[in-house]
Amino acid sequence: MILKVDNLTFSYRSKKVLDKVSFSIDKGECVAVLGVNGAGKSTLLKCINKILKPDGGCVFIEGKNLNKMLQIEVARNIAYVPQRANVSRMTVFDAVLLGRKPYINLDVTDKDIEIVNDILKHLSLESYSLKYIDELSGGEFQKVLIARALAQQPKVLLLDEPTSNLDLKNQIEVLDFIKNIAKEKGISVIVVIHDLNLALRFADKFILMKDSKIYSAGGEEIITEKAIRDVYSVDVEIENIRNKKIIIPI
Amino acid sequence: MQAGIIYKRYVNRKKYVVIVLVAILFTLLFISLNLGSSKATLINLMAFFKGIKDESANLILWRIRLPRILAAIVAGAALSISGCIMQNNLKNPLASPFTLGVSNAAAFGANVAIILLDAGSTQSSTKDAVIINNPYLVSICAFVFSMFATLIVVKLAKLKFFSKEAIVLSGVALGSLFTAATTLLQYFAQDYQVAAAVFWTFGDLGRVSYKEILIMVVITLISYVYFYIHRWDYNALEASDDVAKSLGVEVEKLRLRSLLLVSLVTATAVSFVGVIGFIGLIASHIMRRIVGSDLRFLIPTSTILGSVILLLSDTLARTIISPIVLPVGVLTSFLGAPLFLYLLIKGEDKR
Repeated sequence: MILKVDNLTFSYRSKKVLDKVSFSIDKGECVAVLGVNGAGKSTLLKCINKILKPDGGCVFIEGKNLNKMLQIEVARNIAYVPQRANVSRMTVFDAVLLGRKPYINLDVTDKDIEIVNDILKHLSLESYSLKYIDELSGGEFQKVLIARALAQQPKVLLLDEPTSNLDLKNQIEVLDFIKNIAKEKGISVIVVIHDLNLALRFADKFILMKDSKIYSAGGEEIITEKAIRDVYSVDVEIENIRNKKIIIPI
Repeated sequence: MQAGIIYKRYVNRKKYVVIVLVAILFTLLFISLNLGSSKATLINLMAFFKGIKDESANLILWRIRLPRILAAIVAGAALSISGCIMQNNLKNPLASPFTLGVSNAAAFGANVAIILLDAGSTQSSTKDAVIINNPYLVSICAFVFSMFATLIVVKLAKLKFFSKEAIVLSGVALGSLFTAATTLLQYFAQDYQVAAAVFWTFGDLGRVSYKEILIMVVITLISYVYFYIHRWDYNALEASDDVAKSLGVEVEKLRLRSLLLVSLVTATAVSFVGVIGFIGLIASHIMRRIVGSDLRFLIPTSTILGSVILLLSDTLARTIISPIVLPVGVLTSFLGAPLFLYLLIKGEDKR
């Protein structure tokens, strides 16, 4: 077990957004967080790496309590890719180099440059390195954000709707890339995602959220017609095609 | 390592911009030392180093021109670094001590000190004897009020529904509020107090002593070091607050400390040299076009460019219709206002 979330509670003004959320994930596991808009998914991600300070509960990474860690130590363990980010006038290399921030003391070292170089190569972004990020397409920009998160060399990677701006090809490419790197480097991934079929294709485990609480959590078996109806209030049929679950709204 | 090598070369090119700017600043410094209504030139300076004493030329060079030039360099640096950091921290391209009302608040504070607390002038028979009795009280008051204005802006900027435009607008509102309060103070003040206050507000580099320059240098330098150390944190802020936090930046602390330092720097500069507009805005905007929004380079280059612009303005101010010396604030605003409008129009264009 690498990450343990224990009774996490968060309120925005008087409205409860997270209500005693608990779960845990193992090394290299990919977890999809599912639920309707406003169910608390994004808030959950932000509470895990202390972007938002939870009102109660703890997060443990490798047994260590995050509440007792400085933000910079958290950043060395957990990386985060936001749903939206400002596009400033910055080159791709600079943008990814920013991921080394938690490790930079006075200035970047050759090692930092090398790490960024390798990640860019891995994501085949090398030829883009001096392009400005405000000139990139949606898919390329998304990749840059993921590259930045990987430059943090995290143990856990949090992704908030990484595929929402992407076309089909890029959706699959980005998710496959994340999955491969998770298995290869033993990084655990928590991803908030709306497309249920993409989630089924990508994740090992699922967390269904409803009204600030966890409705159910577990493997593919928890994705049932009843669960989808309860969580999304939509009637679906689940078919097995080529041994893969496919969800069809009716 | 292909991309890495290309990147390093790219970074090195930006370092040349810093070197070029420093060279321009030094050239300007020597030109400015040579220019003036008196004929004292560097030849006198050379003579000085050879041991030949020319009292009047020495006086002009060391007691009049050099402090003025140094004041321009430090104040220019102080105001432009303030603008640069404000723009980054408030995520607003139009933020500067001047546009957010911080300068006006400082001016109000100075007026309070001069008029209400009687730190102003002594009555004197000579025309030019407008003296600030207690420059430190003036500075402290200027600082307190600029802090106050800064805190209001920070609070407003934190409100989610406050857009970038709304922040600038509230800065304008704050600015006019403090200007009105200043006018009110002056309206009920004694003639000599108003004279001192108005004279103070003009923005004049000529009145600064070496001791005051030293204070400005120390405060600006300390702040510069703080800002430069945190250049990566500011770069992270450029992405978004959430991203910065996820990269380990203590955003709230950083923003509060940075803006406190910014108002300290602004207040010090404003309280010694008066209100000088637009420097904080122009310098960082010009550099943003040249070196991009990477604070590693934006901080040093806009600081130096601020010095260059203020020194150039002041040199022009005292030579255009020599022997009359125009208030330097007039020149920077004449240079700055059209650029400000241009940026506004250009910004609209992009959207």
